Amino acid sequence: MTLIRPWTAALGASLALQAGAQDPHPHPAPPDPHAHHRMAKPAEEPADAPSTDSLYQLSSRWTDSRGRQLPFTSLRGQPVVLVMFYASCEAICPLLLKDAQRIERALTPAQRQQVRFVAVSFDPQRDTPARLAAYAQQRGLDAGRWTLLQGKEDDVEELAAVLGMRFRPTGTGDFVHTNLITVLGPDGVVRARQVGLGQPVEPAVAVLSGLLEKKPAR
Amino acid sequence: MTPGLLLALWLGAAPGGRVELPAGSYEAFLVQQGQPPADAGTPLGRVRIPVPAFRLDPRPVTQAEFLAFVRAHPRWRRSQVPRLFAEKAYLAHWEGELKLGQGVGPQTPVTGVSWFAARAYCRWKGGRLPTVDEWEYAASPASPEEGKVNAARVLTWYARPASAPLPVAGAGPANRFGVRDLHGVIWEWTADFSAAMTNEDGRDGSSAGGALVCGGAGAAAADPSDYASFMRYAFRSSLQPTFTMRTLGFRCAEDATSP
Repeated sequence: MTLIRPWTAALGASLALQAGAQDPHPHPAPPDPHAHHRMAKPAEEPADAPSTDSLYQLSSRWTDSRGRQLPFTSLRGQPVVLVMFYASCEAICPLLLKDAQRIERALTPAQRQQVRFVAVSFDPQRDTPARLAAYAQQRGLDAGRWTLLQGKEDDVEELAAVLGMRFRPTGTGDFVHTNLITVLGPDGVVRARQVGLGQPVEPAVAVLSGLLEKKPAR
Repeated sequence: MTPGLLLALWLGAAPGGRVELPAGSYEAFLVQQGQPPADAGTPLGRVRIPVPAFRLDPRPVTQAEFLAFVRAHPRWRRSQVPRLFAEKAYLAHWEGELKLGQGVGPQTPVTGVSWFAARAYCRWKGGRLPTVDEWEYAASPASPEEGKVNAARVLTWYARPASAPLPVAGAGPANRFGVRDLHGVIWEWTADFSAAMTNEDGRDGSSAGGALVCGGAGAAAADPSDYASFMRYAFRSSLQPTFTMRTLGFRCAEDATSP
């Protein structure tokens, strides 16, 4: 997928800088210093910078595929591999989930048990708990490790924003979206992110291994 | 002018009262995936984007209004807001956490607030941020002449230093919808500012991306000569939701009361 951003980022960033230069509170550096590289390599997928703060300040509540209510903060205490997807996405989301499953498989059995895999739908209208349950089964997502979540549109938008994930309905039932896998530490801070499909799993696996060595707090 | 229209305008100007914009359409500056293909009936092959009826604040949210919000919601005070939701410069131009101070006119548009904060304010006020489509529709000119006036105003504004004091919110002329200050005062947050994307869910993004990049503005922008709009779209796409800037404020919207 592509964002409009590559060609606008350079100008947008310079605007932000210009405003910042006049500003008594200088603006942070523009988010995308590599816009030019992206222009040269459009296949490289842009995404926004994630937060460096704990995501467990989100107060949103979600429903899992068994219909159970859970606050986002209930994920606290173990490393989390998080993806956002939608179930009617036929071409890309299965590949994104496969990528997450590749990470899952690359962990040792002991590690695997200590990591939670979370797939959040950004299509809450259609992705009901029943639909998510069917999807999990169809994709072979291990019920013991995977949690699929449906949320309110507002909360989905907020979660996407803190992850630096972009999505937009196309009006035809599909979405354009960043293909993003995020690794959260037990504290909810983003520890690794993988943008684009088919990336090597080693970086994410190394981060997860590191988190599991340091753990366990809870 | 009919009494009904006068009443509508008066209500629209009432403090806090949102004006209702009828369903309509605007000529998109930027063609996005999922939007209809270029219509030969519009000049320069522009695309008209339909927008359902909605309600919009007639002017930007003011400093005083935002102060009332942070008074009511300590979580959004600058000492308490999580970095997750706003960068360090959030409301830094205020003298104190609950004090505007010298040089911050209470009736001027509030700036220095993040997307998260703007969103929370609108929710508090029973609304939401307008979408890009809603904002662009509200700001679209009624005539080519008005478009030129708007563009001139915006270009003058671009040339002004960002530290220049802001005028009182709502001091600008009302447009055909009774909405003010959409051009030439501040940038404004929209709900889906970061969603500008071109290519549908697919791996072949490189082709569309290549066209965008190599063709520059010409490929995607409906009219590259519309520099003011180009800057607005470029600015939006450069934002992150935690950003706070002295030139960036917002106004709220809500769904129309009647369909």
